[in-house]
Amino acid sequence: MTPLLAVRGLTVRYGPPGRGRPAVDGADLTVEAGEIVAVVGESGSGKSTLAHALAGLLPDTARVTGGVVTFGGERVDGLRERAWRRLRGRRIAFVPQDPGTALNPLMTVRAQLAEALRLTGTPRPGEDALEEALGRVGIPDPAALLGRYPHQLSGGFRQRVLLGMALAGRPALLIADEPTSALDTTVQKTVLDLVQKVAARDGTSVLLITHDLGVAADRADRVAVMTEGRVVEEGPAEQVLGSPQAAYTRLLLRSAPQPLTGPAPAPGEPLLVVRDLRKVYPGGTIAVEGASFTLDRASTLGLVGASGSGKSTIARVVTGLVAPTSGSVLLDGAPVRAGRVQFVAQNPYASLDPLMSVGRIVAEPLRALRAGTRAERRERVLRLLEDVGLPPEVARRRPSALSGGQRQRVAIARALAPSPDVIVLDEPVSALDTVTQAQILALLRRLQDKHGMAYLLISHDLAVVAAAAERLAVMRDGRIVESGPTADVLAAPAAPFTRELLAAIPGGPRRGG
Amino acid sequence: MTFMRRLGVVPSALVLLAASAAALAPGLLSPADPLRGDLTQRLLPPGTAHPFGTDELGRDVFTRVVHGSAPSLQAAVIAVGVAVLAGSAIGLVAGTARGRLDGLVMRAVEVLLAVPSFLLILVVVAVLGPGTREVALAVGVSAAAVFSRVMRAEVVRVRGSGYVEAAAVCGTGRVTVLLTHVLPNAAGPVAALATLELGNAVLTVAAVSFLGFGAPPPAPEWGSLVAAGRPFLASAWWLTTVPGLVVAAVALAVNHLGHVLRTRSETR
Repeated sequence: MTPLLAVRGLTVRYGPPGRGRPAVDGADLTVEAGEIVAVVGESGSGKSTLAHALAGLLPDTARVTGGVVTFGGERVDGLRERAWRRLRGRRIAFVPQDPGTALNPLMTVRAQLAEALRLTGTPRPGEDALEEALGRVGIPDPAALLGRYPHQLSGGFRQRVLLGMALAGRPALLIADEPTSALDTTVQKTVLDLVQKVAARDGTSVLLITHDLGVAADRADRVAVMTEGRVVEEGPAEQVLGSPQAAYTRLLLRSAPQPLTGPAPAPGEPLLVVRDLRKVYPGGTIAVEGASFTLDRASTLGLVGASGSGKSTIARVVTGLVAPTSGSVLLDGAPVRAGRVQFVAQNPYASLDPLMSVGRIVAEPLRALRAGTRAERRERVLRLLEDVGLPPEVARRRPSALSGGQRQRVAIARALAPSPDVIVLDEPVSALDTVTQAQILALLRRLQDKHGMAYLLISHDLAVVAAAAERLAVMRDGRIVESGPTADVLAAPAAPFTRELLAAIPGGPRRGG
Repeated sequence: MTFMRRLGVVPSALVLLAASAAALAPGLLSPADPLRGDLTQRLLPPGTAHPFGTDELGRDVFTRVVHGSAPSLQAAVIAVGVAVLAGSAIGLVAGTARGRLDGLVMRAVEVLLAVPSFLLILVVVAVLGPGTREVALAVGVSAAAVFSRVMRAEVVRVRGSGYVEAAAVCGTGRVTVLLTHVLPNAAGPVAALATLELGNAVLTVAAVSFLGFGAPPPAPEWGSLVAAGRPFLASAWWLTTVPGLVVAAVALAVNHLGHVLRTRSETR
């Protein structure tokens, strides 16, 4: 029996001919009917280019230079745009990565869904057809949703609408390019559950592009691992993840965050004490409602919650970026002085001034505190760069010349510069690949052992927090619903929300084993 | 394709080079005196002795155009300088202060934008009196409003960025953050607008000088040269056409080069 989709030796290049290595380099892939196949890889591995090539959505700058792609037994590589348009939406559907930008902000859900249905061959879709399309993706009240604009929907609902549009034509193949990487873990779970359910019901094959091995392990029948444009390993999910053959697959598996084990540490000397913190933004939004926690010297406290739970507001209050409405933040029993609490932000692409050299960026807190002479500062910057594992010549480069992981190292070096007591890490690794993520978490641990500062680690990803923090606090809707030693919370979660978070971690049962 | 595009820059660069050479060292291109005429050589059409012809007093038009480029271009550059400095300062203050001051300043800027710019220029010149520098100032004031709006938008954008937040956590003072992070990162679009405005300013300065508000005669200026040639439109076309073409060529060249620079900096 011919497979639904067969890719043999597909090669895609960007830019002028003969320059650079191909983005996709001789990739082989098979998707049988009704099967879920996950393509796992880091950013830059070519997995997104592969997905776009298979949906006929490559940008003009890319060219397919080799290989054969058959879909339903017919060759589809080299199809013209007109032929693709007949195929796309009806036989092959595509769900893009970022639900925030994939919907037209000026059109209602009804208009966009109707457009999708028209393309699948329903010239004038009626209200019931629209509602049915939304109902199929688990939207509880389709009629109410149809009149809304994308900005009135949460990320999870936007992704469901996109999914509803993609699945409206009952396609044979659904290509989902990182469909949940912009969503919280709990929302991710519901969306992926939905994809799985609909695929099983309609017999739709799914090509799931993801950077998360856990997602692949949970959802896929077969897994293909990509790196540097090549498929280095392909096979049944249990085989690839259970007894990986390729060195890269093993590296990926090793990099997945492992929860800390061992007995809970004895309570140490309290360093940062936050009491009854409350923050109401102008307009009446209550971001934080009566949060209290204590951070011990030289320890790590993890703060977990979904987006909008108020955890970032706590980071901003502790670092002094915003003033609390009420409550106190005391460091060693006194208000926080300049330089004692430093900050590493989520997005290493935004937190470094693009016009400054790395050396100047790292020296900024030293200049602000007027610490040392110019020569002493230069000396200190070089030592800090060495501390975070960057070569000294990086000091002269601009942030744009660095990778995401390197940028985050620079941000850490900057936070380290004034020898702070506390570093607030706001989603420090959520913008990074799994392998880089593991490296940064290891670096943070090493720096803590060496310099003895405390971390307040904020993340939506319970797995990351569990891998780095001895204690954790779970936040929901501005309140801390549960806190305690990480091992205890993971073993016996008390709050229902914590259990929900735990269940949503992809690859759950495999972790820790 | 890229080669052809690069080739297209050459004529514009040559025009600009010639114009700046004429402005900086007019004696080099044309050693003659722009104010001295030879009455036996009146209204001669363009030829070998006088490449741009002569005017009704026998003065060489080429010499007058060359010597007129210094005040014309100077006025344009000063105008853009005034617009960039004043506009950026206003935008920086408004974008930094936010709140009521921001509202007040920006509504005033909007009033300024609502008045037709040429009318505004004429009002300023009427108050200050005619003269090259006065015209430059007037053109600068009329263009400042646009700069202040662009600057304010950029400042608001940059102030919300991660690195400004990071600088605040580092303990860097507000003024230092403004000067080291906000201003340099907000400057890009303002610089792009400035190149666009320069071409515009060349044209506007010439127009105001054409109306007779520029340097008083007999001093040469591109706009007043065109105006002075008007009575002879039927008999001596070159008196109006040649300075007019020069203005058009320079304005086009500046705009073209500005466009090339902008696209290059955007694609980088």
